[in-house]
Amino acid sequence: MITGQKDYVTPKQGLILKYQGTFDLKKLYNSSKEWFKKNNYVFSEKEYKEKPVETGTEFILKVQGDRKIDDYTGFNISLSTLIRDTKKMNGKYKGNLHLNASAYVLLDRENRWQTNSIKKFLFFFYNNFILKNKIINVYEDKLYTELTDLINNIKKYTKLN
Amino acid sequence: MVEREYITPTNGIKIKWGRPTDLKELYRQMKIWLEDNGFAQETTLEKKYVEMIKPSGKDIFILWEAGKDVSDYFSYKLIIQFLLVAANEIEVQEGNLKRKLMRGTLEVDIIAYVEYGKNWENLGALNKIYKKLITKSRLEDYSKDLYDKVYKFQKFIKDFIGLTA
Repeated sequence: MITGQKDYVTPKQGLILKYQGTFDLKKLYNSSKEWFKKNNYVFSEKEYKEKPVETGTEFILKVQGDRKIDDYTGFNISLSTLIRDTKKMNGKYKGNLHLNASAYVLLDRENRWQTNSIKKFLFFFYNNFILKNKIINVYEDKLYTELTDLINNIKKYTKLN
Repeated sequence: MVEREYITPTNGIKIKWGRPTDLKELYRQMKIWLEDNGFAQETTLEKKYVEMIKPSGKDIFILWEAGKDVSDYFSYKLIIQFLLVAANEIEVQEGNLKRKLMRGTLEVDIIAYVEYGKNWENLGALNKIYKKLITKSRLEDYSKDLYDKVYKFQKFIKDFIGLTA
């Protein structure tokens, strides 16, 4: 049953990747940005935090990509990265990386069917009886494949396998 | 009816850092960038400046509202907020120079949107149909243009303070 405008393809808390070791932060950031661009997502950097603490630098990086599929449907991928105890070593960084990736298919992206209860019912009916097959077998699959591709891209710049 | 197309998430894009910063110079450079790109004039940019002195240091909040008209119908709007928490002035030796920097946690939020639909009420019916037909594609072009400018501005800030990525 599809309820609401956001149809998640990941668990709601997202897919979690944890890594401890060396990585190239600049390359990791730039390659993710490039990936969004290459796959027709509008890239937004919601938050960038860099703060030195006693144990090393702490980074928080929250980015998201929005892609328009048609006037009704869109894709959204969000990445939230927390890197702690980071220390610079030979141009690379060493630290604890915790990445959270979530993705959903956005339905009624222009909010045209949310204004009253009749429209909301039609929105529910359309998603669950007319468009359901396409949402599950086309949109969700496509978005999940793209998210996997993005995660693989991230793994290239760490030693995650 | 005036409408908004947000380029950034509605609560803005956020840059936060905690290293000592030449805040005065950053403030000046950001102002110059906005003026050079036609977004602001010296006198109309700053809408709010609040400074609170606390035992842990100074808290400073600054609000800027910048914008420019790109046509009779469309305009770009930028809202920039600075929040500096627990700021203390420190002296740093750089070569032969002693520089006064601010140490504290600084956050800069940038909210950007394209505003359109000005003077809509004064237009005739034919004009309204025409505007409606061309608005969509124009809006996409202007949104893309403002998006590029906002991220150039963000990169300019990041480069100035020497952030990693």
